[in-house]
Amino acid sequence: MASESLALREQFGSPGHQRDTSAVGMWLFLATEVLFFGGLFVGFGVYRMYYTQGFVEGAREMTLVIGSINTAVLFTSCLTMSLAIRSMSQGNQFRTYVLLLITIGIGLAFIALKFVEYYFHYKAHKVPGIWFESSSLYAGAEELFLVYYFVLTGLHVIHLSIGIGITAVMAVRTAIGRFSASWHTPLEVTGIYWHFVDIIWCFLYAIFYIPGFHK
Amino acid sequence: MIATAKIEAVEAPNYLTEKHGIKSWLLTIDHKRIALLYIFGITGFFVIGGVAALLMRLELLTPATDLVDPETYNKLFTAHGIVMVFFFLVPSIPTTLGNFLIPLMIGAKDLALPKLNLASWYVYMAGGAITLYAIASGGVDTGWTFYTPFSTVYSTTHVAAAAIGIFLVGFSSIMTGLNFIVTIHQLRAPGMTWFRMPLFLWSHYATSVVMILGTPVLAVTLLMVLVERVFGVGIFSPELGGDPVLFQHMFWFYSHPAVYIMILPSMGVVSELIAAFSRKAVFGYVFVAFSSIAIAVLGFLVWGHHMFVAGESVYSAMAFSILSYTVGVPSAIKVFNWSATLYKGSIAWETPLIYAIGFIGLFTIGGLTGLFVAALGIDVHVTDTYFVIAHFHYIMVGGAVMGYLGGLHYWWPKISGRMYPEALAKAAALIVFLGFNLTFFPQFVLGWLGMPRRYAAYPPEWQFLNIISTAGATILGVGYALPLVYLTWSWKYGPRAGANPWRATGLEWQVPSPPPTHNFEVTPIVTHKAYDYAGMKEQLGLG
Amino acid sequence: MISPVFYTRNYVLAYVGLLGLLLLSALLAFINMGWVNMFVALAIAAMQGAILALVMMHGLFEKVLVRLIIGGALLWFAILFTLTFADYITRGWVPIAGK
Repeated sequence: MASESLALREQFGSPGHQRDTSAVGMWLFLATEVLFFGGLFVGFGVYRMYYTQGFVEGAREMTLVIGSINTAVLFTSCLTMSLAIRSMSQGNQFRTYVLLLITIGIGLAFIALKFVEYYFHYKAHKVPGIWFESSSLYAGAEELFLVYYFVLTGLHVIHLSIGIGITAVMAVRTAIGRFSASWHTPLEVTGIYWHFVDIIWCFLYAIFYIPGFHK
Repeated sequence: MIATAKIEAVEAPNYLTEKHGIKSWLLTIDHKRIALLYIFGITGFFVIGGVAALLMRLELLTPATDLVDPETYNKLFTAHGIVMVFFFLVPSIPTTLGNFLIPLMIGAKDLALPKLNLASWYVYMAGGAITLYAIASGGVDTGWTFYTPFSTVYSTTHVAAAAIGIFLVGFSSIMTGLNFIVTIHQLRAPGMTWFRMPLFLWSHYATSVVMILGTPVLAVTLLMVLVERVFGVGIFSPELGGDPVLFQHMFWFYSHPAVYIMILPSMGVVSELIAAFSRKAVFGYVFVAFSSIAIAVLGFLVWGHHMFVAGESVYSAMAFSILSYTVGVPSAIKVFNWSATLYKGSIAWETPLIYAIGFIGLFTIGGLTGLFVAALGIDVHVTDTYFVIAHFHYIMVGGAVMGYLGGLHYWWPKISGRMYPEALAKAAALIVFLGFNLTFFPQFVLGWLGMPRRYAAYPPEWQFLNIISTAGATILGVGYALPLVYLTWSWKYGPRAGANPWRATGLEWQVPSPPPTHNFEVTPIVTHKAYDYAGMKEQLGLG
Repeated sequence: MISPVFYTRNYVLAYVGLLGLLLLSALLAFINMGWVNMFVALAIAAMQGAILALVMMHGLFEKVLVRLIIGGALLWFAILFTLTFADYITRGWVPIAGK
């Protein structure tokens, strides 16, 4: 079974060639994700330019503490993911497995905190399309801010969940011995994806949470 | 099974005969079989889109709205646009000819990511099924452009289902483009440097870059339309302060480069056909190669020319107008270089060449009329009229579809191992050319006179031109039906073709027709430049 | 090219850097600087993104093609952003209604 996954696919010249190809493929996919999220950032930017005051009021609805903790949480998961891949490249199967499980746990913690936040928004009647009330002068803009907030963070959660799923599969494959120090390309590629999802979060934190800090 | 054994005694197993049964087709990872799966899907959607067009043209025979009611007419042009753009033109050449030929042309045994290739077909078919459901269960009436707030707030048709179907097929497109880029970078045979690649590959590389960078923006735009429609929130509609023009920016950021996705592969085919049937290297190879890249890049900078009258700022419109002129330059370079290739070439008047020359003429007309609409002043007059419709059909049908048919005929012996009936094919090509011009040339005149697009009724003085257009459309339909019939016929009954019936250069002609599953027994080593007719005279059996 | 083995120290340093930038952006956000706030927040996010892309995703060590892909994606996002904003910023510059 280990030899089946290590087997060189017929169209490649060497394992390094195959690994390079997988990496290029993943980076190209991430390029599409940049444009995917990018479209939303542009729309957000346009509306923020037009409705700055309303958007700042929308940002005040964010729970800054949870947002900031979540950011730190994700960074930690990136560290554990990187260390997991490094462990595999040294051939330490057990340590890789443990670190992958920790990464998954941290990812799940992020999602749990996110849903706690969503629940607070729901309690405060700040969920556009489902239950939204505002007494502000800029209610329309505030709702627009929140639409972008839910869509962008929702997409981020979906991407993170997919990442958790893939990492879980990688953890299983690590445990049953599919990878080795010289070949663990799927693991590397998963790591690249995972870190990218965090990059997106950095920008979400900047546009949704930061504006709400000051009075 | 007895018949199969007989064939195997006569020829070595090829990708068609090596494995049998429906599972070997539906679970294949052979790029050649996947190409055939796509041909099946593409042709089906072409027929559906064509039927919608036929019904529209029948309605337009008379000035009054008598064949169908206005709401149904709206659904017809929407179905025609959505099916033709997203399910036929964007995938056509890349997923059929591209999938089949790219590994062969670079000397590889398959694409870089074969399972992704198969997945892309399933995603394509899933998207198609959902969109067909939307059309069959009552249709969509927003036009393929889904302008807001009509599509998000006021339309009562199946917008959400159609949006989901297109969202899915967009991912199929991204998967294909990603696969091609990785393949062309990573799997070229030894000696196949970038500048020894056939121009077909340069075109497909450029197309793939556009697919990768543009399609995600369409996806996210459709997602926003879905959110607005399902949750009733105003992202693109004015109730909450949303801007309908923002939708248009995001939509056209993809949909303009999409037209380059539709034409670049066809240009790649034409380069191959012109070289093969003039027995000459393409003149100015490097210029043609870089023109493909230039078209891909510049094509991303011009989307605002669809919004000149929509409310974008004048300065922005001026910028987009100037940029739109620049994108015509690399296309013109290609036309000049193809013409120079034909000059003093040893011309063989085969069917593929007829399509290729038809392409050059019709694409030039379409492209020149593009310059008309790129001019701000003229566009105010002709936008949303039949002038624009004629302009883009000259490029999409006179260009892209003719390139597709030419390529299909040229590589048919390689794909099927059989030759098509020559006289019938030439007749069909001429019928297509005649039918096409009769259909669309009157539309330039109608548009200039002021006939708006997407209207089922018009003033009676324009009936004559509309009748000519519909007559042409019928002839065009016959012209398209003929290859469908004789190519299918030739699959079983056509004369068998050898490995290189056209005596053309290119690695795909070095393998048997049809090729074995793994393409090359031994990885070829490339020592000749592209289209080296002069240097390969003996190998090709030319005097 | 088999992937090189990276020192744990680099990853930990990157992690500390990320947390430090997070703290910095949070602290700076309390100061009301008008439009500069958003600019600073995005700049810090970009720096965090750079640390993640170049160190944790090994962007610094990958081949040229990968760096071209990263650059291309960013450039294309910039095209989308700039040309769209060009419309919105220049609206109302000409004294004609709707232009």
